[in-house]
Amino acid sequence: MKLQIGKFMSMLRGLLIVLKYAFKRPVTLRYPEKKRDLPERSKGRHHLTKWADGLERCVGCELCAIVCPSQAIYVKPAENTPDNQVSKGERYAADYQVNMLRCIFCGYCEEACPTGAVVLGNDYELAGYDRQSLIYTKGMLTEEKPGESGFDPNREI
Amino acid sequence: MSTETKNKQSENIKQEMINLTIDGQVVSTPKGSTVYQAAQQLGIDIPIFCYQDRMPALGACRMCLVEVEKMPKLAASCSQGAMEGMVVHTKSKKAEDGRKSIIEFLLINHPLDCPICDKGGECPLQDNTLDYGSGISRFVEDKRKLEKKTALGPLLIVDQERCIACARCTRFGEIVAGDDALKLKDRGFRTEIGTPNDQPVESKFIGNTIQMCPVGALTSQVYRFRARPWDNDTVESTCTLCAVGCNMKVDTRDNEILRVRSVENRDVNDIWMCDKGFFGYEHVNDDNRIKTPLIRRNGELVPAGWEEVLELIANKFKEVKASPKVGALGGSPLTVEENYFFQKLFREVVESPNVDARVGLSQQDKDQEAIPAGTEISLGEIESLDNVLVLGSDLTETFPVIWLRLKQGMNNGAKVVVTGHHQTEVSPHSNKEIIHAPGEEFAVLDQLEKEVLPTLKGKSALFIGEQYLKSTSRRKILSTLLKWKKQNPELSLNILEGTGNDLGARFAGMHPAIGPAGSDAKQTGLSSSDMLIQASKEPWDLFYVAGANPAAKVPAPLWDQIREKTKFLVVQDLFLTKTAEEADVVLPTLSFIEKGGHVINIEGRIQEIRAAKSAPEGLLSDAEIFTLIAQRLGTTLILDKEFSEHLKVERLPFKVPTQLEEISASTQLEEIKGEQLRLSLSQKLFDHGTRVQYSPAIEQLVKEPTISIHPEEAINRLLKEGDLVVVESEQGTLKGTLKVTEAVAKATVVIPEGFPELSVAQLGMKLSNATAVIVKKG
Repeated sequence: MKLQIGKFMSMLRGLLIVLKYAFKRPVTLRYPEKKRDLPERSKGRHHLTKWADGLERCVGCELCAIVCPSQAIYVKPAENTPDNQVSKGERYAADYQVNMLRCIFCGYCEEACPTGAVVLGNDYELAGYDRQSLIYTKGMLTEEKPGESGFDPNREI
Repeated sequence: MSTETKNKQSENIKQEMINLTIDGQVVSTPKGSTVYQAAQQLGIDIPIFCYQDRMPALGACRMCLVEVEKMPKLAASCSQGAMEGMVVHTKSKKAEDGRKSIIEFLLINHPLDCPICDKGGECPLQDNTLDYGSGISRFVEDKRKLEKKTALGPLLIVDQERCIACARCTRFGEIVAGDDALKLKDRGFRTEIGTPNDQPVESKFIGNTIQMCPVGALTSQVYRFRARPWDNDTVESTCTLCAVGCNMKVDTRDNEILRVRSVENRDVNDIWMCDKGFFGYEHVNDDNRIKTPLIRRNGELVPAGWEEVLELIANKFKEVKASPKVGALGGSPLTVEENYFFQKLFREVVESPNVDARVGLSQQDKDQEAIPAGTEISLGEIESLDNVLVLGSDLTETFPVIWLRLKQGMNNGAKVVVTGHHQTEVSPHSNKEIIHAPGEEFAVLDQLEKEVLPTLKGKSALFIGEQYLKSTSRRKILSTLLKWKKQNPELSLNILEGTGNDLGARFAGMHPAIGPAGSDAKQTGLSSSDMLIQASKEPWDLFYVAGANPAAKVPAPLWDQIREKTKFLVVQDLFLTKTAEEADVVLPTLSFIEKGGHVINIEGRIQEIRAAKSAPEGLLSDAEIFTLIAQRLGTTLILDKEFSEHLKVERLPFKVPTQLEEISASTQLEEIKGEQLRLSLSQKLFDHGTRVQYSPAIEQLVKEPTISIHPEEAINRLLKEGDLVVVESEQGTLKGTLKVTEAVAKATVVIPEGFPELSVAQLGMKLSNATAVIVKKG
């Protein structure tokens, strides 16, 4: 008898919890109709940012590529010329690719970058139908207007 | 290890030794060595910047400070002589603090732009800062601001901010290359790297300074911002652009060659290389390379498939089998193996004895040639010579790294006597120089025999170069030298001649009179010039040219006749040469960077070349082409075991006969009549050869070829510098710009080879030095 009461009580307790949460705001979201606001510093897709004057921040130093633990980054540097001034100084990245399939979003690249060029944004929806589309090229990564990716173009690094 | 280094070591043992203690370990080192060298013996690492073990110590950077007991201050170990009973501490607090201060000091004005510096990742300053630096700087003021990019020449870029004034590069020019290409300007923190008179840098060895710079101050325009050291795939290979055969590393990224560096080999190039080696590879990436086989249809060369051309060639071979009018030419850029296949294909499959790798060399008759190119001593031994006679060799232009080794020999006390038809870059360093007109060789040799030969003591060497070897009296000259050798057994004979893999081609049997591995050919064939002369007179069945350009080596009218009379011409090359343009079939092939094999350098050393990048799509190596043709004729070309055994030795022996018999057919020197001058052919390191003319970097170093005469001759002929002149020989004429210079002997006209725009071949077949020519206003 005592045992059966115990069973009944625990069932009741469980039902009460359900009842309690029925009136609370749910933790889950109706994704993809609704999306969560991520913390500012969460790590998602990369952006190559620009200075406020429109010059690219990336100088093609490849420190991101060498620090990357999953070898997801490929950089090919080249020299700026007076007719083709891409970044400040002498060197810029002629090619910059991130393999999103390999990236583990550790953020080391952002950490290593001496000019604050590569930053990890909050965009986490990175799916695709083929592998090729998940190798993000320089054109896809570079912001078109300074500050477009949500990072202050006037920041130091 | 070579015998030379062994000898040196045994010498050291005999030397007086001194004992000292470094970090508690006792070491015994030869008297005269430095604390740094003693520490090296123990494997103790002391950081350095300005010290370079191929040059005397300078003690400028103070990076190598160590504490020596009983000495009041820290001592620079690179220049501090080791002394008996010395007690040295390299890791004491005082020494470490001293080095920390030096690094902090060096970094006061060194910009922290490592991320955009080409040296970043392989920079001794980075490494030493990490290992020995303090990690923080107390310097908060502004660093000095200087020009970031200054071009000191077409290939050399200096970043003045990064320079730490170690003087390695300037001292390389003073001590090793002898060209004083770079100089330090100003003093203290204003010190800058510059060139004398602020002119573009004049050097054939500037690549070495880029390699030696311990910071990113000197960088090359070619490699600038191309990659990081960790991006590169490195393959060790051998340079084949001249016959020295420097060991090199080829760095590639994404199957593209980015740079070439030298590799240490004490026996060949030490740690040096010339700029042709450093930058001459660029032709490999050039867009002008032939990409598919070409076949002549309706008078035009059109692309064709491999199957078709190989079938066509095989059928032609069947037709002309055993015909005496079939010839194979070329082979210098090919490997030993490829040359072996080439001659085998012709000797055994086509049954033609006419094979010759020497296209354009003047002395092709075996008797006239007397002794082929080669050196008795190894290149490493040059540094320990006591006396050197350089006879008619323009070392810096033909064997540049041999000059660097000889200069080191001079630094070690060697006396050098130079003779030739014109002054060279070696002249200012020589102890005695005789400049004479071509044809006066015997008078000069007589003079040397009287004045110099008796004074030769210790290890001596004769270097005889192309000015003397391209003479009709080559045999007689060599026989004189052999006589000298008999008088002085310590005198070695070294014949410096040829380019690329000339020795390898000869060893493989691409020679009308010599079979593989120096055996006698079963049937003696015609030499290349005899073949070409015959083909100009009567119909010729077939020429197969691989890696040669005979059209540029014979006078144009003669070539037209040859081409007209040749029924079928096959050319195998990287680029559409003049010969290829007129061929019936053109086969594209691989460069020395894309294939493997063996090459033989001037001292007979057998070295390997390795493929640093994969072959361009649709191209076959020379060896593959020969094998495929042979297959179609029912033969399999294989490298005989016996022959490949020969390739396992380190160096081929260079046999010098004890004497040469006089041959009656020795040609008399033609008389000079009236206005005539004597011709001297010169060579240039940076020329417009088949390959290097497609190397943009080398192209920038090429100087316009000129016809040079002595001022007196110019006055006699009312000519002045810059005039357009015509040179006339019995067989042809040549137009060019005149240069008037006292560097040239009187009664001499010097014309460089290797320039299509000033094709000296127009003056005649079998051209030799001392040919009488007329120079007049054009």
